[in-house]
Amino acid sequence: MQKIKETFADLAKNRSIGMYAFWIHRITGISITIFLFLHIWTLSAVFFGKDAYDHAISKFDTSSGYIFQYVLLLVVAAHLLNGIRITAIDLWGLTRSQKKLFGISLFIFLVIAGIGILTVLL
Amino acid sequence: MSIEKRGFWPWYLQRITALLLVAGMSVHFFLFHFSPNRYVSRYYDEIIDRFCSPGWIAFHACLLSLVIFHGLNGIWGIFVDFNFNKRSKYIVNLTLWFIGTVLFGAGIYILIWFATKNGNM
Repeated sequence: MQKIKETFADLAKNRSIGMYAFWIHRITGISITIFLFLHIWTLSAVFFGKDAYDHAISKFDTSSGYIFQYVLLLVVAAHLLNGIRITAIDLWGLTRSQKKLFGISLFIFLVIAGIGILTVLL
Repeated sequence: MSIEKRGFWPWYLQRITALLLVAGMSVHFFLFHFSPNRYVSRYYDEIIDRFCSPGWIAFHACLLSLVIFHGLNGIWGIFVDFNFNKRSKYIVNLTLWFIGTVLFGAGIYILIWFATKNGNM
């Protein structure tokens, strides 16, 4: 518990791009892992036959389903782009360029978010 | 997820699976969320017609194992960062292995179910 309190205190004290990226990465990572359960559970409707499966999938073809998919796209894109940034920093020693890499990741994220509006929401 | 606390292999495999997942998830998202056929491609008949070849089944089996390992190894990394005692670590480790095995088993069973419905395998 003490460690959890320290973690939040650390976030309040060190408000930097790196710290925000660290927290975004953890929150999106946990969210995607939780979504994996939902994904497997939805697909498991196939065990009850074609109609049950199509009915389960059709719940994602509604307005709220499209919004859910768009949010999922944003969460995955944020985690994926920041993951590439972290891997590049770790494997090629780019620590000094981490802020610049964050800017590049943010730009690509905004492009994906824009395309996502056209392909997922509309 | 510091390398000192977690050891080399969990850290290294997290990076390698991440790079493989970038490619795998891009294909998955394009097919089911971006491509012109994205709406029909999610439904039963289309999956049976297009995605039940040995290649697609192998692709999705690999994607499933990568995403489960990456997700649960990531959660393990977060847990280790909080410096819990040895007993808690043992219980969490065991729980994550159990969850991973169940998820992988369920996912593979779904893939086998689809694969055996179209007679391609």
